[in-house]
Amino acid sequence: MRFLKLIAVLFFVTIPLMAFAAEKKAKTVDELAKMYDVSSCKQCHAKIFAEWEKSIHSKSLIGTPRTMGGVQGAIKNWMSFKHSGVKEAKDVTVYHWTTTCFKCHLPQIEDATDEVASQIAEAYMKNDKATLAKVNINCLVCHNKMAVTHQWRDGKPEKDAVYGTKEGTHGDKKYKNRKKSATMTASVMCGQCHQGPLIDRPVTTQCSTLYGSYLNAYLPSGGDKTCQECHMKEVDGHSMFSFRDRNYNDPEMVKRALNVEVDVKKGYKSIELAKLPPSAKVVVKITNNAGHRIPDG
Amino acid sequence: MVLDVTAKTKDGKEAFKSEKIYMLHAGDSRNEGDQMVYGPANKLSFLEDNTFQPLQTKVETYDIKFPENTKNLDVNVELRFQYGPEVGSIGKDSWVLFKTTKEISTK
Repeated sequence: MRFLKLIAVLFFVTIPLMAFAAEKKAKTVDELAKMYDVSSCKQCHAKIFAEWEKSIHSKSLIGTPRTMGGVQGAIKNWMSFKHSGVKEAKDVTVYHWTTTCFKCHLPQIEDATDEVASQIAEAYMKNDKATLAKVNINCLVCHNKMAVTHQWRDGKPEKDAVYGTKEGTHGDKKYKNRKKSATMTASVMCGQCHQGPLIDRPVTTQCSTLYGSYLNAYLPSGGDKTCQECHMKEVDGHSMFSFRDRNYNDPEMVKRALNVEVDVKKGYKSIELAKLPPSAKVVVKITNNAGHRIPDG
Repeated sequence: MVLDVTAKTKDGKEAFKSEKIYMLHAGDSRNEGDQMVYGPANKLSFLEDNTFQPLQTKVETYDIKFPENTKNLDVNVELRFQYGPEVGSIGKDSWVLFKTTKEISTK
């Protein structure tokens, strides 16, 4: 009886593990792009999709393109670091990426092989924007892969679901279900990436530091808004200011974030310091109404 | 972010100029001096953070002296977001977030 129980336990433990191990990994950048293909989203969410296409999120490996320069610099640094295991771009593995840049810029790299990691590193060093543009932060990254922040409690994101604010069915062949994410409307959703520094890594990485500013400066100063409240507008419940373009290139967003007042005082000549020329005071007051320091990332 | 304040006479001569930079100055936190560093793999912590803090007001006061025989000056105030030390092309390397011109005069 004990033996049968042992067999049963082994069966139920090992089969899921084997299935997990056998989970297919992308072997090329194209395969990874296909794995995270969002072209079907466009059919029903055309407006949101068009906004996303123009956004920095859709160019997460290239950026403004300062991201591209930053990542190239990081790869060069790794090559110069004695213990990194990287002598050439081709030596870059999934581990290197998930430990650093792609924790945020391409979290789905963990669904790819080291071959893909290497291909992307080489694309960076060749300034191959066409390859780098194939993969990005898209609908599926936020609405599936990164949609569950408390995974020990709530489990991993389900493969056939898109996560949002409601439960139900979803009119897509692959992603048939809608699931409610506990944190989709909470700041931590954005904070998963817009945070830092990453001091727990073998190569410490300080890129974005914004979520820390939100937690440690904005909230203690009496702020009570979420990232989504300021950066997303109620258009189809989704449209993001930052999806249109960079925030500093959006006059409406700048107006919401910064208030600048300039006060000029009438000039005067000091009687007691008669040798000094007349002078006038100019006072510039700049108030940051945003939920984080400016500038930050 | 850069705050430029300049004062010019009516014939365009510069009487005052100030450029203040607000940014995170990152160091490497390895007790190897106070040198600012670039690059995510090197940066760790801040040597200085003089950015605009959330829900706070930063007040900058300028004492502008009038050149001899000058009673009026045009003061230009410009707040820019820019990537590097140079202004570069507006809309590509830097963005003007606020701009105004005000006149100051002696009594």
